[in-house]
Amino acid sequence: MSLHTLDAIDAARAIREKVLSPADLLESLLERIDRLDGRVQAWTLVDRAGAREAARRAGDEAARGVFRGPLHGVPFAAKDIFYSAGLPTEGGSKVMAGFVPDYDAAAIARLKAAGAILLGKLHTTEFATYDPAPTRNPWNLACTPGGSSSGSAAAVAARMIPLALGTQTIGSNVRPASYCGLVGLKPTFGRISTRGVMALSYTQDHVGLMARSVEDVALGLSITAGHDPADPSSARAPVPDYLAALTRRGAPRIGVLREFFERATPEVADVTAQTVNRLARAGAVVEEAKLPPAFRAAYAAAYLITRSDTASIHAERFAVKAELYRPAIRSAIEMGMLIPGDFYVRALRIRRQFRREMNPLLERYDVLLTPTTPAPAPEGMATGDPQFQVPWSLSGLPSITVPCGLTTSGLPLGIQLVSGAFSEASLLSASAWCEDVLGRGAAPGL
Amino acid sequence: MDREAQRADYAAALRAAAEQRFGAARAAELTQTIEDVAGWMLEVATFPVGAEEAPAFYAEPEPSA
Repeated sequence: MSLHTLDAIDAARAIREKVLSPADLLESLLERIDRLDGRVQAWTLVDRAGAREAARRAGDEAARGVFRGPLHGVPFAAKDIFYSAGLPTEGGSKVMAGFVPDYDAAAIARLKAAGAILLGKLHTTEFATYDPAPTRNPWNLACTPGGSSSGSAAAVAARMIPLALGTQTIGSNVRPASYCGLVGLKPTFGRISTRGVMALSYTQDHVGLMARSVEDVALGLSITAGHDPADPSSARAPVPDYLAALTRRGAPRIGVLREFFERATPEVADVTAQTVNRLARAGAVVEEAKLPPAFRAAYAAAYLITRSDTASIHAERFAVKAELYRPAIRSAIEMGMLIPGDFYVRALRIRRQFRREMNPLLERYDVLLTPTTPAPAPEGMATGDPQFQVPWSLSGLPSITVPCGLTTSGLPLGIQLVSGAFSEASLLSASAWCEDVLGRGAAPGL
Repeated sequence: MDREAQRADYAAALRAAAEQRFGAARAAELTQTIEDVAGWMLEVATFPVGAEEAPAFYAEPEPSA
């Protein structure tokens, strides 16, 4: 097996068993990046020197039987809105050109403390909004990988890195993961600290994870989750053992949200319906579930909140550097400045009502299921339609995409599973069961 | 007031605010965005949010039972 195809958890196990050196794993990934990234354009920065030094140190420690944590010696990468000490962090924007933070984002710091090696930074749309990154989809270079976590999805799919950090405010982690045939998790709001992540919304920013298996995502969450007193949005909810939860996987009760199928292309609806049938035949209890009344206002509420938050977050920079912002985020900021305060507050009230109205549904089922996206990755630069992620970004409920097949044109599709707040253990368990039934996502033929 | 009239009212108010803040030329460039935002404002204004429903912010959501 080529080293660059190893999952994070398998690589970590091989390093611990001393059958793989961190340096050999790193060089395999660097070779892969050198071969492919000219076409895929996932990386803004590859920290060869820093990663080689960290791999050498990890190898020395492993030889002495010293292991820092469950990802000792395993490389990871982060979207370029995560602060990384000593490395440029520009958020895909000329506004931040030359910015070098002096500390690591909390999620990066936790992964490093677990022994993982930060290999570099990955392209994002400007400030994680709409103006696209240059990144292409490894499944078809004419297509977008999605956004805003464009580089994260493309790099993991192209086997340049086994695990990447992304973020989601509207649809930016789960959607690109699905477009690229990956497992992508957006945990509950507050589950992973957003300290050191360039903000877009005070109430909808989530740190997310992308990998090629549910197990790797569970491992990544187990390392990055937990309360951070320096992040006012960070939750105090206890962190269960997410990997242990995977050992208890069983056929889940699935509530199918048919309204989403009706918004999807016929091919996506058909593939998803076939997937649901496969899951039912394998033992899942499948029922149709109906969304609550507040769902119909969820989209408008989400968009008003994010526009208002973005305007507030960027106010000082925008006042002096407006001409450096690209068109879509510039418009979003300007409109956010004009939204009346009473509409913003009403939208936040709808947010809470929607989540409360979702509770009975979430208690009835282990997971809710939708197609992850209304269509596969589109051609061109625009990053695709985030509408199937919006309700879960607004409500803060955890959601995940699991690959479920390919279109006739060979592009990946996924199913999106949603569960109750802080129920990631059961969400991951159900996802692993689905992954067992459906098989692991395929690799693009690069 | 019917929904379309209410939406048009919101759009007109946004357009006036945009002209005042960014100038007429920029406000004209924002025409489509203004229409989108006016539509969202209509949806939020007309949805029957509960009188007891406080805004959710940082301390949400609570853990599931």
